Amino acid sequence: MNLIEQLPALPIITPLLLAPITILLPKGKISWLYATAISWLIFFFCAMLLHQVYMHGPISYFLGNWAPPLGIEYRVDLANALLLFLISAIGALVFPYSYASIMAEIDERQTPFFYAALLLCMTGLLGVTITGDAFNVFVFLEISSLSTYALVALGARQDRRALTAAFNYLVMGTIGATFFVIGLGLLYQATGTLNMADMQGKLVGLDNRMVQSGFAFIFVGMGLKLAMFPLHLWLPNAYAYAPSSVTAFLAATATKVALYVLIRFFYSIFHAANGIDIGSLFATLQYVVMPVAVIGMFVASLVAVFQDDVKRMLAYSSVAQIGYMLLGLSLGSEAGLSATMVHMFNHALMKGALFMAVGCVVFRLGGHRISHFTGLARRMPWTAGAFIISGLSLVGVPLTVGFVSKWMLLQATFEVGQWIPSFLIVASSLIAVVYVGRIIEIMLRSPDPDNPLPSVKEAPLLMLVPMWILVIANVYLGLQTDLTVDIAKGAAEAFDLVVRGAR
Amino acid sequence: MDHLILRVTAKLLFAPILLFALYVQFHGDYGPGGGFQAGVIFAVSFILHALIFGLDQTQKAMSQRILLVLMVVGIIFYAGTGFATMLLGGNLLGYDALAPNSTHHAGQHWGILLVEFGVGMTVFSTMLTIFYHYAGREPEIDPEDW
Amino acid sequence: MLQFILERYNYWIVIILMMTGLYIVFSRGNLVKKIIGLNIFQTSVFIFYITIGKVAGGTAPILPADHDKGGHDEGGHDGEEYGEEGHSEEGHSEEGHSEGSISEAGGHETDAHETGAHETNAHETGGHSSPPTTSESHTANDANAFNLEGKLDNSLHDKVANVSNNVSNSDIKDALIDLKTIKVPDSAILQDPSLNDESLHVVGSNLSGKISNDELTQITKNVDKDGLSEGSNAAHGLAIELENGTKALASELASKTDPLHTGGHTGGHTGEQTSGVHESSLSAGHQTGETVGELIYSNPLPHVLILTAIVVGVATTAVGLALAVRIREAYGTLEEDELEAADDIAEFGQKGSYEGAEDLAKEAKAANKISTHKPQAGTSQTGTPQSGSIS
Repeated sequence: MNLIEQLPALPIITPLLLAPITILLPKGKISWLYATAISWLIFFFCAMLLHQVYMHGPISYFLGNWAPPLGIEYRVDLANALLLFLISAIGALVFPYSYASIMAEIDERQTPFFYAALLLCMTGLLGVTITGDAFNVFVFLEISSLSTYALVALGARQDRRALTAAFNYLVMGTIGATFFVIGLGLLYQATGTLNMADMQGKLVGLDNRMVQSGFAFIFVGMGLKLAMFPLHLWLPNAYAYAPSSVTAFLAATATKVALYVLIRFFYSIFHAANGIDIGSLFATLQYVVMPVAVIGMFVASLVAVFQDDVKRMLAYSSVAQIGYMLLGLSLGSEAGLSATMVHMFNHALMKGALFMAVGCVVFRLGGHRISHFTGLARRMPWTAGAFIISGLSLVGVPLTVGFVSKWMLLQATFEVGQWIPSFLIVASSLIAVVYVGRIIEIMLRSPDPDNPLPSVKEAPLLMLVPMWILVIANVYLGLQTDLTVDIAKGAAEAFDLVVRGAR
Repeated sequence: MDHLILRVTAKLLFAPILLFALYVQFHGDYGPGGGFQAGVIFAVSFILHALIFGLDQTQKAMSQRILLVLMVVGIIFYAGTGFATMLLGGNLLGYDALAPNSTHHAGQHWGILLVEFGVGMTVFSTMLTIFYHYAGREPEIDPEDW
Repeated sequence: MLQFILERYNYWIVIILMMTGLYIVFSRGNLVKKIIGLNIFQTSVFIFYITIGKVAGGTAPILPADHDKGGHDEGGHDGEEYGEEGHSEEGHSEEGHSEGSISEAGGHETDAHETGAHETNAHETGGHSSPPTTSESHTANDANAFNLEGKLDNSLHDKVANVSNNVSNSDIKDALIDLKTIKVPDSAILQDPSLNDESLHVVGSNLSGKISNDELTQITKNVDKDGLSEGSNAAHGLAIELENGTKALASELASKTDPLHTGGHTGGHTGEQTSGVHESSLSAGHQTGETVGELIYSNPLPHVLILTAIVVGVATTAVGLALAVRIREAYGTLEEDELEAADDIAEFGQKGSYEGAEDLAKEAKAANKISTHKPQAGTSQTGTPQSGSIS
């Protein structure tokens, strides 16, 4: 077996082959060690893949040696290599983190199932990202979604509302996925192919209602999956009541992958198939996506301000951040696209760290309401420090990654002369200051001398280290902007590259 | 629960259903059928057994633990076949690598046979597990319990 | 207008099911009813994909052995074919088309040579189509015999010559099997008139010289038997078509080959024939391009997609029901309003507690927290490996 040659298949087949074995392993430590080892293995593969793509350009891998468009193709360019790297990196950090956290939050007998489900979820997300076949997207999306429903429901031991949250997520997610399949069916009817690159080629010159309705179905379906503003209702509860490590993983990856699929369809397929639909695509971007993004940024941020539950607050903030990403995508320029890519990456870093910090609080103090954060800076200084730094990054303070992506987004809006969105970006960042500042203020509040809070131990090292790796990444990549920006620019070009290749 | 006719009929049907499931399983690469259908049919025989003789009796014959192992082994068959082709120098799921010297793509045949076998195993155990879990739950729970 | 609506009845079913399902999901408060709605919604997609699967005039994307497996060109061609079929809206107006082509093609039936060409092509159709039912094969035979004229091929001529030269059953069987494997010919080959001319003459003279009408039917019957005994449906269809074709050919030959022979194979005559064949075959080839789709063909790919979607649907339903069971256990109800009310009570109990009143919060949490009553994880997890294994 030639490792380099088989590299694109390995991140998918490894967890698919090994994850089920987890449920046969004894509960607790052994299954955790096993799953963690797998996640690191996947991370290794994905890192190699990113390196290969960065050095040698896009890779195409034919499943079963059947060449596309008949066969299924795994196609890795810089855009999805970056996302693969991100997903596997978050996975590799969440698995070590989850050991203590999960032991405290779910029944110990369920831990092997938990790790298996988390690995399968990761497999699904990686599969969605890597595949070049449109129907495969649906299949992998459902693999990840089904395991996500189960994972969210596992939070029921902490709070029974996790069950209703998971149920709502299931209903919305299934409707979204089914819409996506309907859209795919329409496109298949119009083009006779499921391979994305081939579909793009076939769509050239086709501009009829069938294609347009297919586009609309895919847009709405993916909008549900990525929690685009008016379709986001499943997200806050699902994130709030899922086990902490699940929330950290999902917030950092799941919506990003759905967004990636949307970008893939927008830019690599519809946009690239020049002539078709180009008018309606840009109309959609300008009159649907952009307002939705801007309203989402504002409303979700405002709602976040009034949450008592920190996890819910961060979940609403995620909806707002998705608004930023959609805004970048709606500009229809390469700068906007690369801003979206950078923000996808950076948002994963900061939300991952923030939810991990909340997880530490839950682990020691048993809850994630604002009251639990009182005086946290003295009680759990490392956790509080991580929360503050990544919270500042969420606001977009200079020297953090949040600043980089917001700056890029601003530049992109200036470039196309969209003054109103650029003003709104700044304004909604100010709202973020309010909701993040509120928590930071409570954390830094000096203890009441009359009624001293019982002191608690700092979270275990196994939880702190992954969290701080993310925090350091937040700062380091905020200083060393070239690395991410370079890759993201390349990634944004990769979407256009498909066009040039096909023409 | 002593329905003689039901019990005799069920006993008569049990083996033919299993046989039919195996037929569907291994005929799947030439005709209609395949692992998914076969797995469901296979599970149906056990579900019939459980309906007639009670869940406890069925679980004695086919315990949850065995099902769990079958589930995993099935997936390993499925994914493992794909992985084996990679080890043999083909691409993922490139079944031709299983029989490289064959002139009529015998590898494809072997590959699909193994994969379908794995699928059948997993579907069977999953279906039965789902049935066990739904059927095995308490109809009403004590208010104390929640 | 009414016809327009009725012809697309399957789409109406899809839309009605889709809307019914969505309505149930949104309007019903009961969680199990929501799942039922979800299933109806998904069923509409299955029917939609079945609709896509029915295509007119398609062929199975079997790639010839000499071709590079799944080469880009070939695949692209297949894709285009599907695309056209998809657009033709299942070829509802096929009948009109095929009638037109028959009447037009009838004009071409001026010499025996061409009939020979028709006949061979009828075979070829049988070889390429999925096993047709008898009635289908009949109409298909009629239409395609005229239609596919443009698809003559060098190898095809050899095979036909083979059939006519060796009248023994086994050889015919072999030849038939060979015929099945002939790829759809490039119409460009038609550009070579000499090829047509020579081989057609060979066929014509051989057939008229060696095989009588009775013999032909005898042969085809034997072939028919053999085909049946093999149990191969495709062979059966072929045999039937061969019978039809050869009967027609034999009668044509009886009436038309005589003048040919008496006229002698003079150069001028041959030249005339050549040009005639050439022209007519060209026009017929053109026609073929226009009237894609007299054969109803079931595209397997959408069915595979449905199967996958069904498996995903089953898994989703299983997970959803498992969640419903757990919710029923945790809340004691499945009605959405009651669930919300229960959550609100728990929420209000906690309101205002974050200023340090930990005990109040604890109490509220205790209300929310469900006991560790035998958490059966298996049910909710089982869906996932299953969907992974099928895809």
